[in-house]
Amino acid sequence: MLQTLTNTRPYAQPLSPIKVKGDSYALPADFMSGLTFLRPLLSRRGNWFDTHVNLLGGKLYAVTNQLIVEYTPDSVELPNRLFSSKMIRTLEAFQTPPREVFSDGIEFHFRWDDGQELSMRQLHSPLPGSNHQRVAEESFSRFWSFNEGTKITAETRRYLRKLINHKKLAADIFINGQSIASRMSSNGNNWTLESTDPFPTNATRIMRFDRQAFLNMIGVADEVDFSVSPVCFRHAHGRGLLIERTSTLDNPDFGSLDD
Amino acid sequence: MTEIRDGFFQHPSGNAPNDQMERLLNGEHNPAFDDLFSTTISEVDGDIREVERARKKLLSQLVNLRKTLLSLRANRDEIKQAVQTFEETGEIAPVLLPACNAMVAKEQAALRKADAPLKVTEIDSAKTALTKELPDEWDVADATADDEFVYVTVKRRRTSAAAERPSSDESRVRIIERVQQAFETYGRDFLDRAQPLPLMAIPANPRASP
Repeated sequence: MLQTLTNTRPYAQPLSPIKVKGDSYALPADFMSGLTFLRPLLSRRGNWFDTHVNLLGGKLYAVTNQLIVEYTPDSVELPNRLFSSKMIRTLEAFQTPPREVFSDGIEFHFRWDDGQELSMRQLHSPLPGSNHQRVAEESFSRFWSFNEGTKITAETRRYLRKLINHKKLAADIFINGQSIASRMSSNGNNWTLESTDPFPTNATRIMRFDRQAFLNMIGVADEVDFSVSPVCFRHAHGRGLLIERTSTLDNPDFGSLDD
Repeated sequence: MTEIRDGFFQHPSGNAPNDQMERLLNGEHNPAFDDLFSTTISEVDGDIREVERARKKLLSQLVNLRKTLLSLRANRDEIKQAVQTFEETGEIAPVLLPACNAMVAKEQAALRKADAPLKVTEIDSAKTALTKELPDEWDVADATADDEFVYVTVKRRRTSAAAERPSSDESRVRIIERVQQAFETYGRDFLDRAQPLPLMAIPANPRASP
């Protein structure tokens, strides 16, 4: 004879509601696209300011040691905050931008139009101060000078990525106005492969860049002015700066363009 | 040369004096981050730190010596007191018993001496036995023994000797010459320096681990 099983000891406790801390701020639709735009530019390791997207004075910034990029979204009331790439990736997974956020700086509580909510805390990220904002703004007021740009099209992007996006290449690449040169050492002693490919720009001399930072810039820039240092560039939503590496005595030979 | 290069905030390949020197020798120095004489200054600083450490160590030793001296003197007073008590009552206090160091040492030496001729014969026999067994190019160099074991050092010439190396003095002369040349060639670059963005002035996150 079968017994009817009745659950007399319900162990599960009801989930306690998560308290929403801080004030509510509406997020413009392009805020999320700004975070997504800047996330690939962050450093993986490093100081807290270059591993987070910084919201400073209503603008989004990626502030790394070699590349500073701003992104101007529609008006944001949210005060200065940091967004870790982990948080941005989680937000991206929702596929639609959140409508509003409650935040006291440590805790973030996002809400979507369809009623979805996400609560996250960033214990290890401090609040960026006014000094931090000043640095981001000063970098542009001090170094921004854009006269005439070299256009970067989607095709150029693909072309350059194909040329220099290889792990085994040296950490630096060179341009001289007509060409781009990269090289590789397979034995650690001398350059076993040097390649020069056409890349017409308005650079007036040989310039040396960090390869990864250069690729990051190419990934987002629409127009680049190589005649200044740091190199200045524009993209659809703002400006950016790429630092140049100190020139070396060991320059690649741009001479032959035979292939 | 007033432009900022390599990094907005710091040099990507490190700020240690040695990194700076290597950049200088390669002609890749960056006056915004590097100091022409950082190696010189850090060497002097290192020497100062070392001497300071030695001084601290000696001072603490001195303090310990003083403490020991004081406790020994107190001990001596106590013994004097005990002697007086003995003279009055005939009681022998434990502090009056000596450690007898000299007599212990004498007895130990006598015991060791008894073993000495045996030790010598052991070493000699081991030497002769090994010399017979060794392949041609091998040599017995030295032999010692303790209470349990005999130790024999054997040696042989290397088949290919190490390549001749310049002495560290020769290396130093050559390196200093390169550095001197670099100072002369690039020194002027350091007179007019660009300043990186002052992000370093931002106080570190108090919650971050040190």
